[in-house]
Amino acid sequence: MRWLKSVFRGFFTLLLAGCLADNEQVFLHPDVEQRVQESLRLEPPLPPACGDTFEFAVFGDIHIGKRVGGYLEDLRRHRDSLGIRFFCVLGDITENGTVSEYDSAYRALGALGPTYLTVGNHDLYSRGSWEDYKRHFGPATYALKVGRLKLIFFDTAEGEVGATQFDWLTDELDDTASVQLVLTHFPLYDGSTPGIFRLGSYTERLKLFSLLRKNRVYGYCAGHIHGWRHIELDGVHHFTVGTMSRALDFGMPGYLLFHCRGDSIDWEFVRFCD
Amino acid sequence: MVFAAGAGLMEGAGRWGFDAGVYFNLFDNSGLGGYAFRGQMGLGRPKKIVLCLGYQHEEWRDWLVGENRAYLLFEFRKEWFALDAGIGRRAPFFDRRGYCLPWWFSGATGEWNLLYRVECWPVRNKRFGFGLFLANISRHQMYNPQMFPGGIAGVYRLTTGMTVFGDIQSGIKGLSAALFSPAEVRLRLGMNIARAGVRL
Repeated sequence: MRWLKSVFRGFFTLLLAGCLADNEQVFLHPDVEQRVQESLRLEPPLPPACGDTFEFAVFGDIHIGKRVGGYLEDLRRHRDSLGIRFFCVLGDITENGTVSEYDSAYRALGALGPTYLTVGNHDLYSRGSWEDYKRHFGPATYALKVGRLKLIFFDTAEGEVGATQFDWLTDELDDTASVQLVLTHFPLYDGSTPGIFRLGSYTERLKLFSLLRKNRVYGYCAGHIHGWRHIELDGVHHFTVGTMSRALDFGMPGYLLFHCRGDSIDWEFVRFCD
Repeated sequence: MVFAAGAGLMEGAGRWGFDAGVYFNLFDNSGLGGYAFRGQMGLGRPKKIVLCLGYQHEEWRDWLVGENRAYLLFEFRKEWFALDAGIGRRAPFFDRRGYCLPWWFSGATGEWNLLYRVECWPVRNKRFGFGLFLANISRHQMYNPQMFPGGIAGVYRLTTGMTVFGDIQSGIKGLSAALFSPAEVRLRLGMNIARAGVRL
C-alpha cells in the first residue's frame, strides 16, 4: 500500500500547494480515532447556568487568520440586544490552525461570552494544531445539558465519524427525556445531487441518519459549506449554518438563533448585511 | 466479513446478458446483506459499447437501515482497458418495516450519484492478469463518487473454465477536508466458474 499512499500524497500536495500552512499535515494529522479518544479523556466544559428559558446562537467557519474579516463585532451587539446566553461554533475557527490564529480566536470568542466549540478541517492544517486546539478550547467530542436541552458536539473535522465516536454517540443519544441537538463540522445531507462537502462514507451516513431518527433528535447543525441551508428529513432538522466570515459565504452570512422555552425549542436564521 | 455468490448468463455471442448476486454478512449485521441484478445489451455492430441497467439492495439489520439503488451504465471495454460511466439513484430507508423492502424508491434522503469505472490491465496474458482500478460501482456496492474508491486487482486461470481472482480497495473520506483519511480497506477473494471457458 506504500506506493498507493505515495500517489495520493503527490496528488494532494499538488492540489493543495499554497492552500495549507503545512502540506505534511494532509497525512500526518492525528486521525479521528486518536482525537476522539483524547477528547473523551478530557473534562467537558461546564454548561452555562441558564434555567429553562434562554436564547443561544450557532455559527461556524469564522476562519480567523483570513484577511477578509468577520461579523463577531456585530454578533456582540446582537448578544446584548437579543439576550443571547451562549454560542456554539462548528469548526473552522482558524484558517490554518496556527498558534497565533488560535490565540486570536481565543481572545475574540472570549470577548463574545460563553462559547462551546468543535473542531473543523482548517483547525488541523498546521503541525501541532490539534494540541493547540485542545489547549485553547478543550475537547471536541462532548455533551452538555442546558435545562431540558442536550447539546452533543462531535468531531467530523476530516469528514469521518469513526467507530469509537459512533459508540459514544449511540450512548449519548439514548436520552429521549431531553430535546437533543447534535453539532459538528461536516453536514450529513447536501441535497439530492450532492457535492463533496458532506460526510463521505455512505455507510456512516446511513447509520447516522438511523441514529438521529431512532432517538428523535431535534436537529443536526453543521458548517463546512459556506451557506445557509435548512431541510427537515424524517422529523430531524438539518441545518447548515453558513459562515460568519466576510466574503466567504456564497449566500447571506448570519447565524442560527435558537429560542428555548422549557420543552419547546424554536429557531430562526439571523442574517448580517453589509 | 461477508459471503457472496452470483451467477450470470451470456447469450448472442455476448450481445446480451443477465447477472444476479446475493451476499450475507457473517458478523456485524449478520444475515442477508444485499442482492443485485443487472441486465446488459451490446450496442452497435460490432458491439463497442455495452448498456447496463442494474438494481441493488443492501440492508443493515442492526441499524434498521436499507438502501435500494437503480443505475444506468455505459461500458466501453478493451483487453487492457475499461471505461464505464453512468448515473445511479440511491434511496435509503430507516425503519423496521421499510429497511428490507426492495421496491421503495421514494423518501427525502434519496440522491443521484455519478458512476464511473476506470480499469487498466498492464499485465495480462492467457494465464494471469494484474490491474489497477478506480470505480464507485460494483455488483453490490455503489459508493459516493467523492470517495474515489480504487485499488489493485489480480486474476489467475486454474483451468479453462475456472479462475481465481482478488482485489484490494480503499477510498477517501471527506475529500473536501483536504486531510487524507482512507476509508475502510476491502479485500475480495473469489472464484469464477464458466461453462464456456473464462476469458481473462
